Amino acid sequence: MQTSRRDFFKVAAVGGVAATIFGFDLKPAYAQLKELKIARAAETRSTCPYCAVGCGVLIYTIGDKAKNVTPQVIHVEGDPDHPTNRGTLCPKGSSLEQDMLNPRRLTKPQVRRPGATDWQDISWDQALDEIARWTKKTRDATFVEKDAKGLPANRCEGISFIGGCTDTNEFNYLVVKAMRSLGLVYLENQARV
Amino acid sequence: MIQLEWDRRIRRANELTSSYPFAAEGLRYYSRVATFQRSLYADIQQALADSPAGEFTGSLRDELDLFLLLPNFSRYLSLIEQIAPAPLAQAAAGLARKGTPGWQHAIEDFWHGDLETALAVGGMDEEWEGAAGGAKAREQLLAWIFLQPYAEYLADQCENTIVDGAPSTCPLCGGKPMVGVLRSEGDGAKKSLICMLCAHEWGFRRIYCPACGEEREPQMAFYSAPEIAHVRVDVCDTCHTYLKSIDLTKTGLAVPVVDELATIPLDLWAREHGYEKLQINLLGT
Repeated sequence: MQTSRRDFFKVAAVGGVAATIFGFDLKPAYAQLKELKIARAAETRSTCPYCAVGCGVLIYTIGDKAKNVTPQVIHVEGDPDHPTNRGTLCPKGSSLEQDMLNPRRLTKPQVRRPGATDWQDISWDQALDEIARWTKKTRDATFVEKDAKGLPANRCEGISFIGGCTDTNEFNYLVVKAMRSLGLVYLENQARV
Repeated sequence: MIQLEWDRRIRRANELTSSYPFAAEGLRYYSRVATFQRSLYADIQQALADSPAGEFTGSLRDELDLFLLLPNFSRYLSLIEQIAPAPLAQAAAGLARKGTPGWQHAIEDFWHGDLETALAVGGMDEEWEGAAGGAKAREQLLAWIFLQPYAEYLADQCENTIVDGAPSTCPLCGGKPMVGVLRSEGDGAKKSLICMLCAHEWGFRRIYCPACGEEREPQMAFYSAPEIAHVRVDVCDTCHTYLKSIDLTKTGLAVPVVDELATIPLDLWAREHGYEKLQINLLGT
């Protein structure tokens, strides 16, 4: 926005002295302004991912919206306007900043092989391949076409699915569709977001 | 409001005069004005002590006791003439010359006028310096400062009112917000706004523009400096309006209306970056 003559602050030309329209000297304030390190921050509403209560949180990020700058989370606090928690958070919710910034946070799939004691990093492609292969193998091995009375059952009792509490209703809807199509009967999630 | 609140404001202004030397001139002026306002508030309190508690069905501004206020206007104008910078002092002198009818007109004009447009930031400088419109703007400003204690007294007599939603103007008098306040609530901070006229504080939403109603998060942001960490400039990138908020979770000793006055550099920064203040303060920033 360009400075216009409608600008509120009047900067008098005489002697380069700046003043408000009421006559208060702004020169010391301008000098102080040069010393300030003013930064932009934004608040974003979100929902705590930990449990089914669904507490509202405000996530603070810094960043000036420049395309080459990645916003960085600097603080997380309870949302006082959220009807569920009105600004309060449990100890787990209070640690949400660490959930995002902790260097030990997992950022890739891991697998623990049968009999192994350690987790092993694998690629996303390998994880998807293995999940598909084991799903097919388990379903084929445990699929029940007819029950003990000979009535059609068409269910898979060898696989269960549990959804995380950050999953959205839309995601959970698709999960149910996909899992039911496989014949799963044991599926659970925390649909609430 | 009890007298202690005025004392807190004056004490805070005096404290900040030394810690924020860049705002010393304005804070010294405010300290003198607040001292006058404190005495006027006490006079009003004494005179109306026997009156029943206010039950305002409409606006707080439905009533105006000119018999009580007018006798104090002359000494108020004299004070402004003595302590204010030249432009403001000249405005006070000009109004003083008009006598009681002019004072009454100025007070009534502001009190019953539209607070949405009164003392609007945009174009204020033109009005201030203009011949015809300038007189009105100057009188509005002087009437505003004078009427604050009276409005605050009336607001203090109101029983707590339950307000639906988060109004952008004062639910008691219709005034625009002067400053935002963040008070600790739970593990976060609840936001409220303080009225420019009656100093009533009402709850507001954290991510919501009081000027245009914008609530999309990417359009709302705040700017702050670590050197004045407890004061933030809440901006709206949709209407390019800003309002300062005082974060009492960071500095509990802050007095919002005073700290808002003292942090002039943040106003300068906001103006330089194209934001317009929602409501000017007593110093004209």
